[in-house]
Formats: sequence, structure tokens, C-alpha cells
Amino acid sequence: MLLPDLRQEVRGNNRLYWLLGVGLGTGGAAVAQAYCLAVIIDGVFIGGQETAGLTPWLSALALLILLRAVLVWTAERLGFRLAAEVRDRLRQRVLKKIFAGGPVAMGDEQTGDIAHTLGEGIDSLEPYFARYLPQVVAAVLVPLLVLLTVVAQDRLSAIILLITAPLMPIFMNLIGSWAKGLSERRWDVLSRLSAHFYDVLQGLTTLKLFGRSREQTAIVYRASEEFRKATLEVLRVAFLSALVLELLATVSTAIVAVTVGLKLLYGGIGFREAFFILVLAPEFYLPFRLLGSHFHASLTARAATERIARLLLDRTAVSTPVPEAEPFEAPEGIGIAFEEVTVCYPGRANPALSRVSFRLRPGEQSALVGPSGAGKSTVANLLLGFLSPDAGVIEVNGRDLAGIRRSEWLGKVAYIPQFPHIFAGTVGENIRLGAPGGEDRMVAAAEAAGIHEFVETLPRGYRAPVGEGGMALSGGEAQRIALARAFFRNSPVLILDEATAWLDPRAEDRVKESLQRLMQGKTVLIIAHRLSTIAKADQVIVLESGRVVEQGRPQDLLAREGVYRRMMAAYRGIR
Amino acid sequence: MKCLRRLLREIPLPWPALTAAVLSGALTVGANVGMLATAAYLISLAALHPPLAAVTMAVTGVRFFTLVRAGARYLERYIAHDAAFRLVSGIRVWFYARVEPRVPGGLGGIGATGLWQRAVADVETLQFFFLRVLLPPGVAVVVGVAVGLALCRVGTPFAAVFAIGFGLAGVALPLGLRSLGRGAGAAVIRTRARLRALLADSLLGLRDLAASHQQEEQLEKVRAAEQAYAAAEGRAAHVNGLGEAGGQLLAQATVLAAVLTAIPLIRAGAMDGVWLAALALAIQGAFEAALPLAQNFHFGEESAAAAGRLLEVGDGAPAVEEGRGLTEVAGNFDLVAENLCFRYPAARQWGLKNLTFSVPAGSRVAIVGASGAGKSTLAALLVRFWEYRGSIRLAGRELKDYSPAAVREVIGLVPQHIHIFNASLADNIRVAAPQAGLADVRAAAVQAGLDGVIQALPHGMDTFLGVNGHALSGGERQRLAIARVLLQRPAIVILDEPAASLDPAGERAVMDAARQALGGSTLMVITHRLTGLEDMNEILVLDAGRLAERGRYTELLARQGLFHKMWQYQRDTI
Repeated sequence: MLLPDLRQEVRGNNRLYWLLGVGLGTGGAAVAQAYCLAVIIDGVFIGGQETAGLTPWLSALALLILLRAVLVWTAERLGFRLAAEVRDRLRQRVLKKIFAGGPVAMGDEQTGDIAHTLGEGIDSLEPYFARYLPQVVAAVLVPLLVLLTVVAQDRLSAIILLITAPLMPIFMNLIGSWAKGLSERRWDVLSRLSAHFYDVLQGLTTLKLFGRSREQTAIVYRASEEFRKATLEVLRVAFLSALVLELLATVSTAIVAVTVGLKLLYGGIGFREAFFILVLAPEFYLPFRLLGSHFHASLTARAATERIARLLLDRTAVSTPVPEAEPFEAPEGIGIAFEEVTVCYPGRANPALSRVSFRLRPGEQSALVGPSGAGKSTVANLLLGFLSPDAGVIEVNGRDLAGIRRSEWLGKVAYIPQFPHIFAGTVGENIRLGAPGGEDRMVAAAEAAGIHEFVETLPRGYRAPVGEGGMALSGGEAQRIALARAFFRNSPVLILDEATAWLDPRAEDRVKESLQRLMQGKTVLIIAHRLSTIAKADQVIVLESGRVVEQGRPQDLLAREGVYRRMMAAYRGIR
Repeated sequence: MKCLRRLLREIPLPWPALTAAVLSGALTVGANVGMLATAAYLISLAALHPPLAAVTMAVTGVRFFTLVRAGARYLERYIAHDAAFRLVSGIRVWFYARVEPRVPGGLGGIGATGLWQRAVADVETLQFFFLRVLLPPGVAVVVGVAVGLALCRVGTPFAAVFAIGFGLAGVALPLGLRSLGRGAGAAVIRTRARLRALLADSLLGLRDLAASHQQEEQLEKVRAAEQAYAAAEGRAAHVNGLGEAGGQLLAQATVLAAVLTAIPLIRAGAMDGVWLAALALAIQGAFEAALPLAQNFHFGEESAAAAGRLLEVGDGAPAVEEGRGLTEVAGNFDLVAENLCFRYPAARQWGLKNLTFSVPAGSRVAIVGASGAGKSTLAALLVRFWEYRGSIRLAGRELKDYSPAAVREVIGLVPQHIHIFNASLADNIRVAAPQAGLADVRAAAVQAGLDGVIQALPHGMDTFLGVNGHALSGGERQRLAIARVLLQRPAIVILDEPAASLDPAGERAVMDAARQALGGSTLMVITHRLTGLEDMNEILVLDAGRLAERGRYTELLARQGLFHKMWQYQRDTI
């Protein structure tokens, strides 16, 4: 009953047992309540007793009523708590897995799909844990309890209950499988309708350009009506299962009532027992019916669980941090050396980098150039620790990068991506991004990045919310925020993925200036997209299909009859 | 609730169906009450050992109510769902009719995704408005009155006890829950949005997070948001639990109160004891109608929120009034703009400011500028997606004097984002002119350079292109869009970033095809790439909504201004 992938999440969670206990307690209270009612009515009607004589039973009934209400409320609370815990644990597990895999393992997966699974998918487990799971257990235990009680009163009635009980699942299954075929067809119609509707909504501007949007109203109406008819066709069958359930429950209650009544007529049973059984009979069927109404929750949860399990399985960590990694100090600036570094991505025939060697010296700007797919971002990924070399070694001040504690290394590196992400939070939080430092330094960083004036125009300045749920920033503004991040961190190593698009003509020159200041005295690697940047670099490394084909000072390379010279010639002609 | 009322003014409720559903719902509960009461009566009667004939009535009654119950349940479900779907169908059509005249300008910033969420999720939520908000109170009222009247015949005190209990469960409890849970729904939505935003950040910002080693901190943030969300939801669950427990409590307590009321009456001989069991079970059964009301306000609020979001879409006036003005553009198609201004609603800055330019019929004009300079905005104004200030004259008359549809017949636009319908290639082109014959459609396709594509597709022109034409490349989409315009044959054609998704070679091929095929038409090309502009009659350089420079290619380069700077920048980029 419990989906295998979820077992781990509730193992050892006491709330689940409490929930089962409460479910059973509710059933017990219902039985006891029915008994009290039977005794009281028997006492009044047959025994001719008055209120005073029945006081203990009346008070017991009142207490049981209260108890049952408390149990119902407790079950609701417990179920929710259990579900909330499971959600929290699952989300943390999946996120940790994704974080451990890093951006390279994430690759170009559909982030939208993953976000959906993490959000709605995990949320949809709530009804499963809070309602369906307890109901499954209740559907086994409570009818059993009722049955045992009835056996003690009247065997014939117990047999009737016993015979009708299995009929419920059998009929539900029969009708269920009949409805399934129809329901699949309905999903067809439904997805066709929604696809069509979406198509029309998305293409509305196009339709309007050609004066054809108005006439779509009739088509939307027709599609909607088609959907209604198809749905009702399924429901006509699906409701049959409601009918059969209802019929089975009431018919067997009626049979029990009539049987017991006739037995009573001939003195084969007492009134109290007979009435007790009559009150109990509906309680016998109630859990089955509730189970049916929560069945949908289990289907949704099953689908979600499959997707969650895939997320937990798929992600193999590309670079695992070394446990005995050591601290790292570099007061004198940082030199980096790639020695024969080779990287192969799983499932690719050719290595992304093949025996790549170069040096990045402190105070020097190195430009990495080459066509897309040459391996430029793989180099950046290696330096940021998103990847580790399959062969060869990356040395930092003479020490293997793999042996250095990740957090300390990344504390020395600032990275400016081409498309920086703006997080949901304030402008200030987006500039700091977890790095230490006071308000003054943050404002200074923003000024250096040429974004301070813009921030000052915002209604709440550095406290203005941006990102999801806040103000949307333009591409140029986002880039300057990323630049401010780098100024704020002021790390000895800078990795810059140069922007290809011209985002803001006015800011461009200022950003260029402040970038030059930022790069002063640092170990800089630029994934270059500007010829002027390349020309100004101290060193150019030309990559082609994962190999370093040329490296050296730009003027030296230009003098040589090589790839670099050809490239320059192709783009602007040699000056 | 105000939103719901407003929505219901626009879409009338299916009253006959609602009445039928309420009656069959009441019959379902009533049959159960009848069955339980007669069964209890049967047993009580049997306990007195009368002749068999005396109980046969009761036996028949039990059987009768059993069958009625099942039949009525089926009927109620069917009628109610049919009515709910009819209502939803009506809402869907109403929604489309509301959206259509406002696209794309008058939607108040709601994008395609926002529209889609409303059109699907919110419209479907309103299905439950019928089933869970309207129906239960109706059933409760009918059952309450019917059972109350029946109890009056047994004894007025019972009717009074029942009225109090039923009223508490059906009115006081829901009201109490509403005031307890006020704000809980909003808190759930708020905290959930925060959690969702953090999750999206964790995925989309993974590179930035990992590069600054902020994963642990992000996990902590997610956990904190998760806890806030759970706390908000816990409050909602708490209210829900109170409702369920309270409903049961009231039902059982009412039974107990009725029994307590009956005992002295029976002792005094004012009431026959044989009715006591039937009384107790009948009251218990009747509460089936009152219990769903506990959640009535909750569902009511959900429906109101959904209705509010639907109404939000068309609240403002359409950006441009459709269907008014001259239906034909006569004369030569010179286009002249003077002091053209435009500001997006709620924007702080002008989108376009004081543009003055002219595009003589048959000329070729390029509009260039950085992203956000206002190039596409200008195109949107020319095809009347937004209202403008200042003046745009077409064939000597103000653009506003024509009906927007008439303007769009003369000015055709190949937008930057081309939508391909999930239909055949032929139908996708035919969108531009539904009456066009297959030969014309094919001719347009060939002229746009699609002949290679047609040959490669399995069913040629009849091949379905899939959701948003996923099988087509960027260049093929451009060509398809150009084929549409060719079929439409407008006098003025605007190409918005025809090269955006193409490499330089593809760009040249598409542009050449377009120029050749559109010979004679006025051609306006919007682009941020400064290639192939040498033979333009004029180039308009936009900068933050203003016309920074205008002139021919060589003139602009010689001027050493913004255009020259852009040109240099482009040459610098690899």
C-alpha cells in the first residue's frame, strides 16, 4: 500500500503509528457510542426506565461523542504534521542531490519540469500521507472491529456483512476498469482541448494580425462543449461506481435490518442487540467509502513519486569534494596551472578538453577564445569546482586544486557569468550573495559597478525586492549587479564570461572602465567575446575542439601565421 | 464574494439544473433518513412481537428507500456535474471573448502563461463553485425544512432541538470557521509563493549559488520558507479539523438531546416509545446534509479568488477600440509620423518620445537600436496594438480614423516571436487569408523559400507541425511567417528582427527571399544587427525611445555618432 519510494521517508516516524492508533480509536469510539445508544433506547423503550436510571449510560455517550470529536480533530492535525515533515525532508533531499551534482550535472535539463516536481509534485503528497494512508489502515481495522462486535451479537448479521464486504472492492474494480478506457479517451479530448485552447491563446496576436481572432469564439465554444460531453460520458460510468457503493452499503444495511427485525419478531434476538447491529452496520461500510473518495490522492501521489524518485536517482555528483581537503592561504596572489587536463562528459564520444596545459599568473589577464563548443566553459567549470579533471591536474600555487577545501577556494574566486541570475530578495542581498562585509563596502561595490545611481532611484533603494515576486531587472542591470558582486567579494581570482549582446549603450563604457579597475592586480580569466578585450589581454589561449591550438601574447600570435591570425582576419581584418 | 456576484451577472446560472440538482441531492439524503428511520421503526415494532403483517409495511419501506437512495445519488451527481460543466463552458467562452479584444495591449501586463493559468486552473476552480458552494446550502435547506416538518408531527420539541442542532452545524459552525480561518488562505498563498520562488532560484541560479558556495545557506532559506508554509497550511488544516470534528459533535449531540427530550415524554405516555429509535437515527441521517457546509466558505473564497483573477484580465478598457472607424484605406500608402509618443501603462519612462519620420510608399527603411530602445514598440503601434499620442498618418489620414482591422490589412507584421499553430503547414500559412486556394498558398510558400521544407516533410503541405511548430528551425519559422505575409499581400511589411535566430548566412538568405518576394511593398526592417543595411533608403536609429539619428548607411557611419558606435561594437564582438 505504501509506495516503495516513500517508505524511507516515514520509516521510524512515530506520527504514522499515532495516526493509525487514532484511526482505530475513532472506530472503537464509534462502536462504543453505538452500544451506549442501543442500551439507552432499549432501557427507555423496552425497560421503561427514566432519565435518572440511565445517567451512567447517558454520560458515557456524551463523553464518547466528545472523545470522537477530539480524535477526528487530532487525526487531521497529525496527518498534516506527518505530511509536512515528509515534504520538508523530501525537498531537502532532492535539493541536496541537485546541489551535490552541481550545474554541470544539471546541464540543459528542463528546469521547469524539475521545479514543478519540487513544488507541486511534492505538495501533492500531502493528501496521500494525511488522508489516504490512514484511511487504508482504517479500512482494514475498523470493519474488522465492527465485524467482531457483530459476531458477538448475531452470527447471521455478521455473515451478511462478511459476504457484502468483498463485493465492494470487486464492483469498484469492475467499474473502474470499464471507466478507465473511457477516461483515457477523456484525457485525450481534454488534452486536445487544452492544447487547442493554449494554441489559440498563444497565437492570439498572430490571429489578430490577420483579422481572424474574433471567429475563434465559436471554435472555443464548440471545443468546450465537446469536452463537456466527453467528460459526462465518462462520469456516467464513473458515477455508477458511486451508485453501486451506495447501493451495496444501503442494501446490506437494509438486509441486516430486515433479517434482524424478523429474527426479533420471533424472539431470536433481543431489541438491544438488534438495534446495536443496525446502528453498527453503516459504520462497517464507512471506511470503504472514505477510501474511495481519497483514492484520487493515491494516484496523484504515485505519479509524483515516480518523478521524485527519478530526480533522486539520476544525479551523479560530477565532482565529489575530497574529505581530507585542506585549508588554503594565499597572501601573495594566486597562480594557476593546468597540466595536461582532460575532461570527458559521459555519453560523449570526444573529450571536452584533451591534454590542455596553460598558466594563469597573478596580475595578468588571460583571454580564452575559440568557437562555441571548443571547451571554454569547461575550463571555467573546472576552475569553479563544478567538474574535476578525468586526467591531468590543476595546480594552484603549486598545490593540487582537488586537495583544497572547496569553500576556501571559492572564497578566493569571483565569477561573472554571461547571464547572471537575480535571486528573489533585495538588491542588497543580491549584491552580497552571502559574502561578508558592511553596508559601506556594498554601496562602494555598487558605485564601482555603475549601478548605484540606478538603485537610488528605486523606491526602497538597496532594500527594493527584485527577482521572482519583485521588480524585474533588464539584462544590463543584472550584469551590473553581477559586477557589483565581484567588486564586493574582491577576490584574487576573477573569472569573467564576457557578454555577447549589447545591453545598454550608456552603461557600456563605464562598465568597461570599472572592469579594468576590478581586474587590476588579479589573476583573471576572460572567456572573451570582444576583439578589443583579446587585444588588451596579457595572454591569449586559443581553444579548438578541446585542445589548446595556440597561446601567447596577442601581438606575438598575430605575427604568426596561425589560427588566431586567421580568426582576427575573418572578424575585422588585420590592422 | 463581490467578484463572484460580478461574474454571475455576466454569466447567468443554469437555474433549472441547479434546482434539479438540489432536489435530487435532498432526495438522496432524505432517502437515507427514511431508510434508517423505517429500519429502526421496523426493529422497534418487531420487538413488540406483533403479527408478521404489521411489519411488512416497514420492510417494504426499507427496500423502497434503499433503491431511491441509490437512484437519487446517481441523478444528483449527473445533473450537478452536467450543470457545472455547462457553467464552465459558458465561462470559458466569456473569458475568450473578454481576452480577444484586449490582446496584446490591454491585458494589464498579464502574459501568455498568466492567461493560460486563468483559462485552465481558474475556470476549472469555478466548476467547484457550483458543486461545492451553491449546491450544499440548497440541499441543506431543503433537507432541514423537510425533516423539521416531519419532526413536528412527532412532537414540536424534537423539531426545536433539531432546528437548533442543524442550525448550529449548518450556519454557526461555518461562520465561526470563517472568522477563525480568515487570512489563512492568503497566508498559504503568500508562503507558498515564497517557497516556489526559492525553489526556482535554487535551480535557475544553481551556477551562481555554486560559484559563491551558497548551497548550504540556500538550503536553510528553503527550509525556513518550508516551515513558514507549513505553519500557514497547518492553520488551515487546524480550521478544517475543527470543522469536521465540530460537525460530528453537533450531529451526535443533537441525537443525544433529542433522546433526552423524548425520555420524559415517553415516561409520561405523551409519546409512543416505538418511535424513539427511528427518531434518533432519522436525526443522525439528516446531518449528512449539514456537514459539507463547514467548508462552504473555504470553497467560496477559493471561487471568489478565481473569479477575481478572471475579471482582472478584462478590467481595463481595451488598449485600442476594435471595430470602429473607416474600413478601407485609400490612396498611396505613405506613412508619416509626427511627434509620436507612447508610454506603457505604469511605466516610469517614455517608451517612445517625439518620433518624427516618414516612410514613403515603396521605400525601404531600417529601424535599429539596442534592446529596449523601442523598436518593437513602434511596430506594435503601427499595427494598432496600442493607442498612441501624437500623429501617425497613413495615406493622408490619421491611423486612428481607420478601424484597426483595416490598418492591419495594409500594414503586415512578421513579429519577432512567431507563433506556429498545431495545424498543417498549409493551414498555418492560410491563417493569413482563409479563402486562399491551395495553389496560392503553395506559391507563397515557394516564394518565401519553403520549397525545400515542403519536400522534406512527410506529407508536404499537409504535414502537421506539432505544438508551436517544434519541428521547424528558426529560419523555417521566419520563412513561414514571411509566406503568411506574402499570402496576405499588405502594402507595408514590417519585419521585426528577421535575423534574431539565424546565423549570418541564414539571415542573408531570409532577407533576400523577403525582399525579392515583397518587391513593390514598403519594407520596414527592425534589427539590432547592422548588416545588409547599405541599400536602405533610410535608417532610423532609436535610443531609449528617441530618434537619435537618421540617414543612409554611409552618412550615419561618417557622422561618428551612436550608429557608428553600435557598428564598432558589433565589429568588436565575436
